[in-house]
Amino acid sequence: MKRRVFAFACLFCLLLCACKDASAPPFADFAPQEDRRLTIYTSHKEEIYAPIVREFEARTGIWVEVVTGGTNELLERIESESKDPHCDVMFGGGIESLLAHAALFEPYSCTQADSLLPNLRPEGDVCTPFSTLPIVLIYNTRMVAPEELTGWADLLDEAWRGKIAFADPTVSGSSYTALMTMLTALSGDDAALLARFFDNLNGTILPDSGDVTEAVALGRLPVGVTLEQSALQRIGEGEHLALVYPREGTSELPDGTALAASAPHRDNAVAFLEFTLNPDTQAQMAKRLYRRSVRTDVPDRAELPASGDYPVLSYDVAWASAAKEEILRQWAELGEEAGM
Amino acid sequence: MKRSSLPFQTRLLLYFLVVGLVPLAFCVTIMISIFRTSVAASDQSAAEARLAAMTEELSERVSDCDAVLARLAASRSLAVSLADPSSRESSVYQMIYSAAAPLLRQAEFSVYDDTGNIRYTTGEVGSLEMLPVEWGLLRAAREEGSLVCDGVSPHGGEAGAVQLCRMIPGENGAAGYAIAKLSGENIARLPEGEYGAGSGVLVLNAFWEPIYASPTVEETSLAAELRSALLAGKTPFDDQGEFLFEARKEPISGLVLVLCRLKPLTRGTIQNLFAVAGFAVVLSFLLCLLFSMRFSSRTIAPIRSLNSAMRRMEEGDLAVRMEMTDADELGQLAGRFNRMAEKLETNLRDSIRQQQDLGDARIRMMQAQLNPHFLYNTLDTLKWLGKINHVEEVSTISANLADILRRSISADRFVRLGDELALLDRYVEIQRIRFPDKFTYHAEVPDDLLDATVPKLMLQPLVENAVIHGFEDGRFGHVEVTAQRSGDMLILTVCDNGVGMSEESRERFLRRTAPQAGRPGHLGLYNVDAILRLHYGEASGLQLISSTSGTVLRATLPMRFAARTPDKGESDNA
Repeated sequence: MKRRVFAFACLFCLLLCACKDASAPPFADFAPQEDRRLTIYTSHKEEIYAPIVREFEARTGIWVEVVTGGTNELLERIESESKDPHCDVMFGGGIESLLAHAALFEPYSCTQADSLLPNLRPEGDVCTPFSTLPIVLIYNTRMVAPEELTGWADLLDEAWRGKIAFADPTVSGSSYTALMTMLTALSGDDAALLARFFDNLNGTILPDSGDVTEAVALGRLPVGVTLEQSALQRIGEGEHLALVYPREGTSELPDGTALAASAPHRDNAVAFLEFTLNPDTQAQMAKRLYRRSVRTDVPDRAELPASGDYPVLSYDVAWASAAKEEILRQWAELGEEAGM
Repeated sequence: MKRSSLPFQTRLLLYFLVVGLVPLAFCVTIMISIFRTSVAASDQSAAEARLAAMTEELSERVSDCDAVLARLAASRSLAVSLADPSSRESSVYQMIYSAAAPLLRQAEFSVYDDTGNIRYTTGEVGSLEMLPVEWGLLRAAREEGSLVCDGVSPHGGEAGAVQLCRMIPGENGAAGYAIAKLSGENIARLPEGEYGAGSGVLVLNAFWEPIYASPTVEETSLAAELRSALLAGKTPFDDQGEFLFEARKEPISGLVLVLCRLKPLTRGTIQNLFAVAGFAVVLSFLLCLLFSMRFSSRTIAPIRSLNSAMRRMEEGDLAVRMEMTDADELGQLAGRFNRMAEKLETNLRDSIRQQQDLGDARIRMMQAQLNPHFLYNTLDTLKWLGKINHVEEVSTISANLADILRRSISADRFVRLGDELALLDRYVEIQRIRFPDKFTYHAEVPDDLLDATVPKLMLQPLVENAVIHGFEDGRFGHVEVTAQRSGDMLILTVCDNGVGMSEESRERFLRRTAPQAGRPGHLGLYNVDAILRLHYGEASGLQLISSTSGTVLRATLPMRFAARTPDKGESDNA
């Protein structure tokens, strides 16, 4: 009796299984082979990476998977994935942020080094420069008069308390570079300056570097700290923004591209790295994106002041990357004290 | 199989459930599965056909455009015009328009010079005034030397577009480039009406980056999701999503068309189907429960009452009867039980009455035996007094009476027929003295029957009945006693020619009821009848043969002889 019931139940289950949806078209046929793949982690905005990635795909036939995020966020992710690496190339991020995580990358000396501007290649070739990015101050031209904002010292002024658009340096690499540039430009104890600046932000810290131009353009915050390229891009789009090269001087740090250690698709990663320095790419970037090329043979856009026409600080990249952990810890502490 | 210890009701419910639910659940599940499979299959084949048609159309459009581009690229006059900026535009435009004539509504055609500046266009100049020659489409066209295709992703407010490009060869390298642009609007017209409501189409480049999305799927980041699913090696046909996807590559341009369609059966529909199925199962379950309970209680209630009736009967209550409700088998059973109980009750009542009758007879006999010796001695004294005083009748009567008395009080229950006849003679002699010349008596018994045994004093009451009742009106009569053999039976007949029995007496005799005390009647007949039946069974007893002109009484009893007198094992206490 039991056996008969069991047999019946088995038959029933079999019938059910037979009737289950059996539709699974061969979608996977479209997927590329493993050697035609590349995974890029990028902190660049879409308008920067998308044309480059597309052109790279079109020229090489390699499928690029793009993972976006803040520089520090992505660096932490690469670190956490060290056992099971996904990232092939870290594209973007201030050079000192990349240097601070040198262990995550495989040093690579690019074949086009001879064509690059001097002093941009970091020691040991942990990463390759992509473009130089002066830090600038911006203001909304309808809310602020040109003489009101001239340099870093103004950012510590009570008058701008709570009115400064500044991205979280623990997330944004460029924001960290801006912070370190300010500490370099202003005299005094770094910790005290940091505390004064934090206090003057009055709790207004934007989550992403892209939010800075947006906040100033919309007049939510009248002044801000951002990259020259971002500012010019928005000005080019017709926003009522103006940029100021700080009178104390600014940094001209390049952002970089780094080859991830134990990259799953190393050959393709190298190809991409070389492609970012390709004269075509650099020219396209300089022409379309208000960026300063790192190549000697690619001219910048005419409206960019030549490097040297504005005061430039000697920015100690080694110091900035070594101090990163400590500075960010202090920043986080200030945040906790302020109850954020 | 093990004997089930479950109560009848539970077992019945289980059987009902098995019969009611299993086929239902089975059918419903199979039907839903078949429904789902067939709907999915037909939907998929329809989608595949639609997608194939769309791809076919796109292919056609692309190859048409390519034909135009090839014509432009091969045009000498165009190459010359591009090299010479001062050439007359109108003739070139004439050439371009005539080449592109059939496709002007479907695509825009533009010609760029070797520096990437636009020279001629059938559309608006717009943002494509200048194209980089070292980047993107123009570079690819130059490098490839054949048709290249590129997608412009939708960006900001601008819709995506498909661009086809061919280099126009010049004397040294490229003289310029011819580009056909299929705008999003043009692409949208391609599959118009071919994908159903709720469905949408995506046009992707060879790397699955979006170029065009139909309005239904435009707002979503579907293309990006599809691409990451593809790269992750996952199938985008998960159970959670609302869409099913079909993809097909257009061979000339390398573009990929993805048809996104709503699942033919939404989760809601399937849930509804299962809800209905579940409802049917639950309903069936409830019905099973209801009917099994009703059926079992209808079956079990009569059985229970029969059971309790039987127990009451076991305990001695014979008056118990069952109520008959239905005419079915259980009703018949109840009726049979009632009849059985009735019969049992009657039998018991009869047997009690018999016992009582027997007891009464014994009591009467014992009373009759009361102080018989005193009577006997007194009669003996009377006899001697008669002899001394020479009153011969008194002496005879006393002697006969004493003899009758002695015989009647003897312990024997059976006597020889001869002795019974001798006793009868004594009685007749007494009665002759009492009623001289009133009747004659004759016994006709073969000698071989004299030794047959008969119950004691069975003939005397019969003769007495004839003498006392037969000749009441003073007539002269005759009493005849005969004995004869009939097989194994002995037939004793007492007949008289008297007045016969009254109707009332006869009926009472036939009903076998004893005459009531204090009333004249045939007590003797009744007693003899009772004695015979007690000894030999119901079939024996007296037969009243005739009563019209006299009475014939006949007793039929088994032939037995003294030596073979049956030992009844009973002892009379005389």
